[in-house]
Amino acid sequence: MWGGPFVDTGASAQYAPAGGADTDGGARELWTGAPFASPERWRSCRVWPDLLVPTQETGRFRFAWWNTSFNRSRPKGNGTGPKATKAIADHKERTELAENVIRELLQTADCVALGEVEADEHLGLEQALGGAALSWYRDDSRGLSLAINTSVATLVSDLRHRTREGTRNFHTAWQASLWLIHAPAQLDLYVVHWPSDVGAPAGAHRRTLGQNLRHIVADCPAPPSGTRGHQIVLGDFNEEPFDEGLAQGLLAGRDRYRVRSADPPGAFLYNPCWRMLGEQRPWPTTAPIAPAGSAYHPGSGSSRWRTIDQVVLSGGLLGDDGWVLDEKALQYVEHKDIFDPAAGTLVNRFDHLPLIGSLVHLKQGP
Amino acid sequence: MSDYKDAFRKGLTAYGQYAAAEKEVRLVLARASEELSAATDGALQLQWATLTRDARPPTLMETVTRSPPPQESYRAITAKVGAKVVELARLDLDDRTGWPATLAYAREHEICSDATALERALIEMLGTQRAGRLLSSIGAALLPDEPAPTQAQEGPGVDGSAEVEKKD
Repeated sequence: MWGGPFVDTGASAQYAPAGGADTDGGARELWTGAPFASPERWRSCRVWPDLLVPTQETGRFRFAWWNTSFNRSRPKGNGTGPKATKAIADHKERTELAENVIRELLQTADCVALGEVEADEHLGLEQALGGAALSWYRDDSRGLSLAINTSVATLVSDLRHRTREGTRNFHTAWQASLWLIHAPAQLDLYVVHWPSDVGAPAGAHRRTLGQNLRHIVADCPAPPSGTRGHQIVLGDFNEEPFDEGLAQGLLAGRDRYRVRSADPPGAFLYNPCWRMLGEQRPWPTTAPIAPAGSAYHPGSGSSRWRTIDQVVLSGGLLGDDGWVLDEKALQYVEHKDIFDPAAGTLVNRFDHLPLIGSLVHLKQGP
Repeated sequence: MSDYKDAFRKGLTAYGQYAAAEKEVRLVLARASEELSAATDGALQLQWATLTRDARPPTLMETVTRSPPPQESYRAITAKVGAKVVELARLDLDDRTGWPATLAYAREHEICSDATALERALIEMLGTQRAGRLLSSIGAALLPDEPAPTQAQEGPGVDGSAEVEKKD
């Protein structure tokens, strides 16, 4: 009757929709009914019927990434003329808008990673937004910042991974090892901002960075329980899910089954952003225009949008219980200060949307 | 039959690559050691040593019985002045082909694709305040006629870290 002992029906697996039909990102209810009540409920099961057990959420960890694109307006040099004064005022205005976005991200996410933030901007954000429960950290070598809600997670240690080729020096990832407090576990977060093709093609370098990061993630020790590790790689990869650095270097793919059944475990990573390629609403639609990617560059080729801000996860986060990816919660944030839904464009010279996602801790049992 | 022969050939090639990479790394370290030795009147030497450490934290039973946990070996760059030795950084080669080499110290983890990259990474590592502190702790000092290091010579980045290429 069934193809095997494991029936994966997708992102809604842990939940039984309230009315039998799936909902899209709305309020969800935990499994409460009889397990064999309807075919819909059959389909929401991930295990053989005789092993069917309800799950309950016992913890949640929300993460976010945003490339602030401060580089686009940061004044260069110490000029004092009218042009310089205007540049300073312009950057100040954009910083205030960015603060609004980051403030909302911090209200939603427990850990927010930011790109293109220089030391003084980091300090400014910390002063403007830093609450008592927030801890701020920084990797100066690539302009990355990290704000962590310390009531949910604490930073255990951090490492800066770099790749050198001859006289060239690239930032591979900033590894922040977090301890999740509510359902205790270690989570290794790798924040990346790989080089772009501006100036010269950097695809070959990104592939090397992907390969090196692949080895770093694979060598990351598993938790003492012997289960697969919890690892998240997120940031601006400056390439799409199908490009070489991610697909052939980092071995991050679209196939959950391949990631879960990899031998050795951890050989592949899962990239849920494959689901976020292209237009999000089928045509024809009367709904407001949605972004067709994460980065908006009007002057580039056949598409103004590229899906380059992504999150990639280890197979340990695709389990049936413990800390797992809540894929439905993954989305690009269409904040009013950076996205105009009427025009379908980014505004105020921002060129990236924030990405927000969530892990959920599930416990099997009545 | 031919499979075994091909495999043997492959193994020999890999061994050749590894040995060549190891030789290059030793050459880089020898050059660094020579320059530092000359700058310290022969006092300071760099070595590439195999060290051991605990493979994992001790279990409760091991703590009670005071027996050490299993040991694992690793390779590290050490600095030596007389009988005093201090570990500066881990330096490992890729198991299969030698390159890339990995240099790890403090919060830094550098994957170096070739000898030039390793040389640059070593120079940066020696320019950190951490290396200065460790070398001072074993009594390494520059000859009086050598100019004392200044902030500007420690590298362009914070904590002596080099500027990473930024193409956004």
